[in-house]
Amino acid sequence: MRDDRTWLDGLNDWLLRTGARAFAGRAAHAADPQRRMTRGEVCVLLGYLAALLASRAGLPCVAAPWARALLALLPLPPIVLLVALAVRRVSGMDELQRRIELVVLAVTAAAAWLGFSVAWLLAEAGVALPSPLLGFWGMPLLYVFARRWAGRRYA
Amino acid sequence: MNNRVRELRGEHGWSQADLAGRLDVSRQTVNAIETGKYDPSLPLAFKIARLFAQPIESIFTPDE
Repeated sequence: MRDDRTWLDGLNDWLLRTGARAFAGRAAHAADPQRRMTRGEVCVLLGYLAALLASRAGLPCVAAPWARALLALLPLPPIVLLVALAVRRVSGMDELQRRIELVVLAVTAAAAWLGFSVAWLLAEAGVALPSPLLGFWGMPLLYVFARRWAGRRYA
Repeated sequence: MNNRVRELRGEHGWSQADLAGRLDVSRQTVNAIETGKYDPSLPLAFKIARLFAQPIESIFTPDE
């Protein structure tokens, strides 16, 4: 229990320090609600894209199942870090901004769930489906549109 | 919910940004409260009431 707390405290401290350096803190978010992505998040996003490219490039050269699994999951840590940073950013916002962000995330998640359900039902019926890349790029686009809608609703 | 935040802010000669700074929220939040698009949380409503030194029920009134 004590070890868990120490580990969690360490993670929290690290996130705090990262947040303080890269995000310019809570006050900056309150003062600048239009700021969409922090420098830290952009860096992690670039890391994710690099990991994605490395994973794609490396997979054809590897045959061992464990190595293929490792390479395939290479983009996962940046995604987890990005989610952690996003959670930190949202929790640092003021109440209206947080509400907008949570509404946007809920709309995006619901639409994504609906899209995947439609795709699964069509796949079960043997109907040809569009590329999964549509979902990959569609979600960020959906987020942007939902963000604009929610921003206008409350602004 | 109706409120007198804009009126009280005007009486103090504060801009929306001034009030936002005093309440530690964004200017967008102050604007949304004043235009009635957003009802503040109870802690923020108490903060507003304390800032203007008025009872909360004299600032925020429910829709009839």
